[in-house]
Amino acid sequence: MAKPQAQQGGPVLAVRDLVTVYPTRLGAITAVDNVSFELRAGEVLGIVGDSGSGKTTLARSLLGLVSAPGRIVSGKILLHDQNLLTLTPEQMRQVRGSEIAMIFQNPIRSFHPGFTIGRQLIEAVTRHQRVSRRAAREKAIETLSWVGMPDPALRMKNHPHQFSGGMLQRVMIAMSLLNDPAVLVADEPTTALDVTIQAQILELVQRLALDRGLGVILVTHNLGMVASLCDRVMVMYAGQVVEESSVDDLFARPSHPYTVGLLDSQPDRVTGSRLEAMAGASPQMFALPTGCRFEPRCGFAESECLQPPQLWKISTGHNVRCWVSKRHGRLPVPADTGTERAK
Amino acid sequence: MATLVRLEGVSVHFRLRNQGQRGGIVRAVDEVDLTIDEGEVLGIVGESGCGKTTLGRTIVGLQKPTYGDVIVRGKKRSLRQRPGANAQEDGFQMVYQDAAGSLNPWKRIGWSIAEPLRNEGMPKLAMRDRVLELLEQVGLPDALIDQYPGELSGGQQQRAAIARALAGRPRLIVLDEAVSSLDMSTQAQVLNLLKDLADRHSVNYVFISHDIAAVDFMSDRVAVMYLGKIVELEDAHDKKNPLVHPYSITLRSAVPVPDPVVERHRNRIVLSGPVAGATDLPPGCRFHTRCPIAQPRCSETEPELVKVSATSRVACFFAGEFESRYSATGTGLAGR
Repeated sequence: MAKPQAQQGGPVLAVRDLVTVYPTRLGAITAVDNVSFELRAGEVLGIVGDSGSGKTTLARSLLGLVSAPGRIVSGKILLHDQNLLTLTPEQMRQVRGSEIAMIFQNPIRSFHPGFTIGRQLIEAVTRHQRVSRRAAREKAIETLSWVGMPDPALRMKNHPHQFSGGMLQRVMIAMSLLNDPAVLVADEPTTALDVTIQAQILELVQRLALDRGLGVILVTHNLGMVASLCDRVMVMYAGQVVEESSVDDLFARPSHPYTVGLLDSQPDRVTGSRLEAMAGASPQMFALPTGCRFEPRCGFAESECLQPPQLWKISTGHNVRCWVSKRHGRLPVPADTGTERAK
Repeated sequence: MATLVRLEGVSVHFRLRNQGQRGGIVRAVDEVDLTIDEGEVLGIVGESGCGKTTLGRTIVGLQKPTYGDVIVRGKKRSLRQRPGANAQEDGFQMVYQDAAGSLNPWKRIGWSIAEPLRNEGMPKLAMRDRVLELLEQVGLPDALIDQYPGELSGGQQQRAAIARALAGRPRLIVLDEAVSSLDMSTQAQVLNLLKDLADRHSVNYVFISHDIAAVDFMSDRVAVMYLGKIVELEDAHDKKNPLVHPYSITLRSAVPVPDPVVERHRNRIVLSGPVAGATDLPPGCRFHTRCPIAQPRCSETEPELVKVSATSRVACFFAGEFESRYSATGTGLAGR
């Protein structure tokens, strides 16, 4: 299948007003609430947030992998101007793995334990391309060597358990690249790996984005990874995007109190003996505050915060869902810190 | 400062079951000497499989050393006792990463927290008061006493596990990846809580983690482990003498810092060589198979943990020469 070349500067992936809902006993949970963004070729977009903020559901929504009873209720996912949400399940299966691919946190659970990885890689090629097994095999070996696998032809004969976690994550990345996708979605790709191995995988992902013009969506809770890898960042809180900006702007001028709280929670950013921990916890998704969802934990909160804020633009490429930042153009400096001893 | 625990030549070896008598031996902890002073927080950092959890369990008394002695307040710990009895006698406690798994899902939180108190034979009435007091200390609302673990968030569960560890007024708590599964914001709350508790009650911690930033934040002294050995041990507050062992430097350089400006201007040290297995350790230094500055000597003789300054000990022949030797290989040096 011929791939349309990403036009210079044009987005490969555009998401518009995406809403994904999970029905539960306690009412419907809007896990992804009106999320819009664009991803350019060669760009690494980070999605950060606490567990339950909807970042993984958003990632899975992009590939049509939301598990039932959850479903996408509205919005558009445009890959090369084609809306993925109008595709049949079979058409979506064709797109998934060939034009948009995903790698998961736990590589060992993403492979069939009983088959050699060679067989699984070859199948991934023949599933999407009309090529001979021999050509598929060559493609698999080439891709394995490309992700830094020593002796790729030999390793094709191994089963998943014969690989270390880091090596298996490389195999998974290789598998996702077999059909030259335009977009790679990586959900916490290094969380299960040791830090020295993590560094190797980070380098690999960075190289992929640069050399192949691959658009990468990196879902993570690790701000260090965001700082080292991403071009743009979206911060999610309780299903919504609360801040969106270039990576430099986000770290230099964080403008949502939640982002500020996240940065202050990092042990390596403090000099004193205490962390500026945010008070409280994320809200229950079926009992959300009617106004700003962060308001109950926020030290900057004012009366207007009881009204729902929108994602406002405060400077070029920097959007924030915060009344206070909107009014002041940034957060007021003498932060009456919303931080206190954790309750 | 009085010494609380001293390990002398402690080794913990496991025989691999499925390989019979000739089977391999995993040297999870190998000839470790270590002291923990009263009032000190010792951090242990290392990657999975380096033996940090086994070392923690040995300190608590849940794991008997294969060789060597554990000396608690000057008294040698007897080896014949049931392992759990040692922890109880010494007043040592352990908190695990998976808080949900360490609380009984069918019992109310209050019941789980009171477990050490029941073991002491505390009367029921006093027990409830003590549990409420513990809940307050860890910053949990009273109402939680009658709730089940499943009704709590991850951070609350971890606080409950900490409350239980505190119940018996322990002398030492080993925190094994105790905050690793928590969200960043919750992790910061729990780290602060642990610091407060250490200040208010005279309790020692051994803080075990793979997260070097969290270990630096919590600890007075840091031990870096690699394949069962402590390769570096040093004062965490001594900023003038940063870690010097090649593995410590690599470990630190591997962790991305939450600052894009710093990240852009540094060169990460990426290790290439094979990781030696714990069953067939290489001769010489255990790290030499991956070490970017390894010399022939490193594969012949095993370096001892020797004092290099007043506050630090390092097991490397080329300690302090990393920067010059690494840049001599033509690769840029990782910024710190």
